[in-house]
Amino acid sequence: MPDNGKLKLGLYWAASCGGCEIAIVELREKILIVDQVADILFWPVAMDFKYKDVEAMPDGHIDVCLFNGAIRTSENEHLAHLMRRKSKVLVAFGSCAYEGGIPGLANLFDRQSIFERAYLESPSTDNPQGILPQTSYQAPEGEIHIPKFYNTVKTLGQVEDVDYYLPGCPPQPHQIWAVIEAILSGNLPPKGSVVGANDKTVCDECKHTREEKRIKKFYRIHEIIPDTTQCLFDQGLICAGPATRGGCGALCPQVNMPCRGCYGPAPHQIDQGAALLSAVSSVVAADTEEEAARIVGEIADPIGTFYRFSLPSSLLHRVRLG
Amino acid sequence: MSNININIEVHHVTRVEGHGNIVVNAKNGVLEECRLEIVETPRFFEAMLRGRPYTESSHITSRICGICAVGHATASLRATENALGIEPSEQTVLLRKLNFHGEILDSHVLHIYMLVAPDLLGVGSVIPLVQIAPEVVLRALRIKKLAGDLCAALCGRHTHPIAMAVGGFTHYPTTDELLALRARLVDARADMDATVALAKTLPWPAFTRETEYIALRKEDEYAFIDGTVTTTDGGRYPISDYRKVTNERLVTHSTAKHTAHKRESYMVGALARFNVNHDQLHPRAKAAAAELGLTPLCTNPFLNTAAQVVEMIHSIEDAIQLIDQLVARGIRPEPLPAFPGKAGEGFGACEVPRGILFHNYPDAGDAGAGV
Repeated sequence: MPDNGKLKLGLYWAASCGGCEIAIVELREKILIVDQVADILFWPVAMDFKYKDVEAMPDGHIDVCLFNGAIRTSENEHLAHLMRRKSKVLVAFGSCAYEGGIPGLANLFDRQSIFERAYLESPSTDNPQGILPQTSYQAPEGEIHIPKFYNTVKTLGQVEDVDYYLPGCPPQPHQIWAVIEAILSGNLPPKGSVVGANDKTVCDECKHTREEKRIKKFYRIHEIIPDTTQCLFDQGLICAGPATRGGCGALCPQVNMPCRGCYGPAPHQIDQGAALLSAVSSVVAADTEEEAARIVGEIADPIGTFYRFSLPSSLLHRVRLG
Repeated sequence: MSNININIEVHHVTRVEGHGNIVVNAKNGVLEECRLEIVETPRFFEAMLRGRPYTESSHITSRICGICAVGHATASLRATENALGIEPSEQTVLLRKLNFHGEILDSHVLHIYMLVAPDLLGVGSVIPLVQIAPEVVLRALRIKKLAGDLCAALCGRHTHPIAMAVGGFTHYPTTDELLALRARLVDARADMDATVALAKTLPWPAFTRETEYIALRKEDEYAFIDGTVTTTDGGRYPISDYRKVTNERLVTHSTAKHTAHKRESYMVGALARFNVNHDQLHPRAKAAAAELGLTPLCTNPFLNTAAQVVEMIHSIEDAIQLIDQLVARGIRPEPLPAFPGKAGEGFGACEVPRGILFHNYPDAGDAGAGV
């Protein structure tokens, strides 16, 4: 803690949507308290500090940096290294920094096929000359640099040493506040812990009643009218609740949409998709291997279902290149 | 000729949504270099969406933007519904409009109070504003809380909406929840009066530039969802002809695509909507526009923020009317429409807080969604 008793805080966004920044603003009137207890030294979306201001700081000057977004480009990685060097505590904030998040679904493709789709083939694009952005470009006024786009989306923890992981797409404001209070009181768990969540699963927070029914057919959301008091999984909707860490308050099942797993793997699990697949397998009601294969084979988009937010941090990491 | 030398490098532009750098060099009063580098990290949803089931497209594309997530999800749903030939029910349309107003309020209040006002009040950011004018910040937070609670009552949360689905909703607000929100919307009129009063005192730069403005327009209402693509330079296109105004071009020095219609560039967003659809604003919003000196065709881009104030008032008034309609007709759970068996190409368009948004799915069936 600094001499004036105020926490030196930094916030940064890499490959992200801005929803994590909004989650901070969702602290609402507590933002006024944040101002009393913390000095914000870097927050590009809300304040005017520049990269050079951060570079000029002594190493370890920032007490805590909340870093959101995945590592998609060379600039994201550069800032990850910079913020690590300048911060005593680096927090992977939100699903993208923690697990790769939705941008991580791009790991089902490689850079070339992504560029071809977005810059050449997409119907909104008019690019008959096949122009592609270049990382270095000589303009009449001087040389222009844009960041290198990596082949693979990585998590913050895959390029830098991370102290804590705070999950959620977006993180729930009351959980963010609990973490800020823990930081202020020096009451943090051991390095490497997941914070801003609990040590249960989403199922443990869910109000729907689960009986662990056996499933003969998996349905999609428009194929049944679910009983809103009963477990969605029991009704054949694949819900990531059993494989997902709690802390969000089971927001999605609460409004009858299955959990997609944004809070990351449940405690003591390494691979969230594998855990969910295991949960699915354990309820399949099949007498033969063929019948089991048919029931599971009907699941639309298994990778996007089991690894919606966690593909880069999973054991799969990405589809094979080449 | 002046002998002024200027060398400005901004890494990077702050207090905007997105990442960009500015470089300006002038020698002996002559501009040698002036460029905006867009270094925004592209995530390429166009590529990621391929192979995902159509029921998931809106949940994935809402992550394009955590500030206008409802708008992206809605445009995605409209494109999918268009491809599948699904017509949403009247109740669904009313609930979506109400949800949309929540997002317009949420985004505009942030922009006006947290990003623009500190500059015009000369305090640099919202943090010192907390110290010198806490009541102003508290007012902004009060409006923001109302907007967030409105979205959460309808969709489970604002960022990213959960309960919106192709052809309907998986969850509905209760009449009591709607009436409680209505009371808070009525109370928010006083906060909007204060917002107009604040906006009147802000020293808006006097700068005008002839500009083409493009926005969606509908015959019967101030358009946020659906409509025809309308330009102040003359021209109206159905949404399926959106390429006539986008025709996205690539340049080697930026990851952002460039687009133009009749001039080098055009403007979208609140001021464009105001210029195109001023006649359809709620009377209270029109009165606020008059008070702020905003008349169409307004070509001062700084007054985009004033147009946001006007739109907030319109959204509050229209949200009140929508709640009255929903309560009068009663809310009933409706089943989501079944997959009709085949899908063609789909187009969807919405006016999100910062501008017009198109989703185009060449094949919205399970095997090949795209943006």
